Amino acid sequence: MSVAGLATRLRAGELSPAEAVQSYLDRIEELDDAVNAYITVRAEEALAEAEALVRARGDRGPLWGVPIAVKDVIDVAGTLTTAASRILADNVASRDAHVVTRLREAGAILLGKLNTHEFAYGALTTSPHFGAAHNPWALDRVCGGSSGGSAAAAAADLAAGTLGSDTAGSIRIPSSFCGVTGLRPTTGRVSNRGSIPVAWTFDTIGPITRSAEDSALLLEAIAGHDPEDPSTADVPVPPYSRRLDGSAGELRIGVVTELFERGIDGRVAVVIREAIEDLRAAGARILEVKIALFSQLGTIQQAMQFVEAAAAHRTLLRTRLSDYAPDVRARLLTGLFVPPTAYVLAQRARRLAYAELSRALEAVDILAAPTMPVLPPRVGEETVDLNGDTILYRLTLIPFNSPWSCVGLPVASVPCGFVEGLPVGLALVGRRFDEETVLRAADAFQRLTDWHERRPALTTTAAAS
Amino acid sequence: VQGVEPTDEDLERVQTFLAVLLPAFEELERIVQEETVPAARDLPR
Repeated sequence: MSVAGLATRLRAGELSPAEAVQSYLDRIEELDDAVNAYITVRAEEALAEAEALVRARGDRGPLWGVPIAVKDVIDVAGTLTTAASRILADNVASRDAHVVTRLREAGAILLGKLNTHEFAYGALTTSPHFGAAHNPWALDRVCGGSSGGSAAAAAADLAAGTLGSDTAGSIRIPSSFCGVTGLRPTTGRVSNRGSIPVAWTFDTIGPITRSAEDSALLLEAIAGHDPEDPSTADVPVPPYSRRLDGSAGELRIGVVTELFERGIDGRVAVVIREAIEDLRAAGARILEVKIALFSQLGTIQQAMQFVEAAAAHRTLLRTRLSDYAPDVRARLLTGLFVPPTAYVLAQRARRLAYAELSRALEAVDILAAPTMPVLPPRVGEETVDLNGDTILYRLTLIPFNSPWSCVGLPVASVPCGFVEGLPVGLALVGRRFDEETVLRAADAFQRLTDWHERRPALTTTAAAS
Repeated sequence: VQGVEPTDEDLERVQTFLAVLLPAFEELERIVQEETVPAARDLPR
C-alpha cells in the first residue's frame, strides 16, 4: 500500500499502527529470504513503537503509524548501523539521525535497516558480508545501488516507504532498476547528521517510494535546516504534497540530447523517448538542449568523490584495510593517489559546470534524461550488455548520474516502462531547491501512466525458485 | 601510502580506476580558466 493510502486508513481507524507493522513483518518473513532487502528488522521495537503511538496524546503527524525503513547507513538509536560492512558489524547507534527524528515527529514507525553496497560506495548492493540484495523483478539480477535494499523493499512492498542516500546516483540507480520512485533532493536540503558519509560535498538523504506523492510526503517530513549540520541550507520547505496538481501543461522540459546519442541501450532510449512524448501529449513543451561541459561532469565528481571518501575512511584504511570488500577497498585507496591539484582543479571546473547547467535551466523548468542506460547486471557479474558489446557496468552509470549530483541538483527517477520485463526509469532534474517542480512533473507523469503501479509478481513460490 | 599498506592486487585495482580518471584531467586543464575559483558546497542558492 502507498504511504498516502496507508496514512489515510490509519487516521480513519480502519487499522491500527500495530496491525500495519505486523502486516509488513509478515511480508518480510515471507519474502525477504529471497530479496535480502533488510539487514536488521526491528520487529519487537516497531510493534512497541506502534503501541506507544496509540497511547500517546496530542496531534497525530502526517505519517502517524506508517512503517518506514531506512538504509543501513542512517542511525536509529539502539539499533545496529552496519553500512553492510564487517567493520561495523557490532556498531549500535547511540542516537537517532536527524532524518529519523523527523520521521518520528511525523508519526512514522521505524521498521528496520536496509541493505546497501558496503559503506554506500558502489552501485551493486552485493556486500560480501551481508549478501546481495536481489531485484524483485528478477531475482537473479542486482537492485543497483548503493541504496539497493531501500529500492527493493519499496518495490516488493516490504515497507510503506523507505529512505536511501545518494552521492553519485545511489537513490536514482536502484529506483530505476526496481521500478520505484526515488528522489535525490538538492544537496543541503536534508540533514546528513547521523548518517555515514561517502563524500561530504555530494551526499544527500532522500525518499524511495512507490509514487511521487509518497516521496513528497516523506520529503516534507525530513527536509529543512538542521542547526547541528552546518551543510544544510536554511531554505523554506514547501508543502510539497499539497502542490501536486497533476498538471504538465505549463512545463517546459529540456531533453538532454547527448544522453541519447551514445552509451545507452537502444531499447532503453526508445522507452525514455516514449515517456517524454507522453508528457508532450499532456501539454508540456519539449525542447532539445545541449549543455557545455556536460561530458566533463563525471570526471569532476569522480575526482572529488575519490578523495573525500578516502579522507572519510582514513583511520579505518590504516587499521582495517583487509576487512573491506575488494571493490570498495580499491575505490577508497584510489582516493589516496589522486593528486591534490586534481582535486582543486575539479572544484574549479565544478563552478563552471554549475554555471552551464544553471543556464540550461533558465530556458526550461526541468531536464529529462534516462536514469540508467542499461539493464541491471546479474548478481555476481560486473559487466552488462550494451547494444551487443560487453562493458563494465560501473562505467555506464557515471555519464547519466554524476552530472546532476556533481552540482547538487534535485533529481527524481520515475518508472516509465520495461525492457525484457525489467523496469526503466526516467530522470527529471530541477533547479537547486526546486524539488517542488520535480515532484510536480513526476506526479503529472504518474497521473498519465500506470508504470509506477506495476508490481513484481513476487510470491513465495517464485522466490523459492 | 599515508600509513596504509595495500597489496599488489589492491594496487592493480586502483590502477584500473586511475587509468580512466587521470587522462580526463588533461581536458579539464585546458577548459578551466586561470581566474576560476573552486566551488566546494558553496554553490549559489
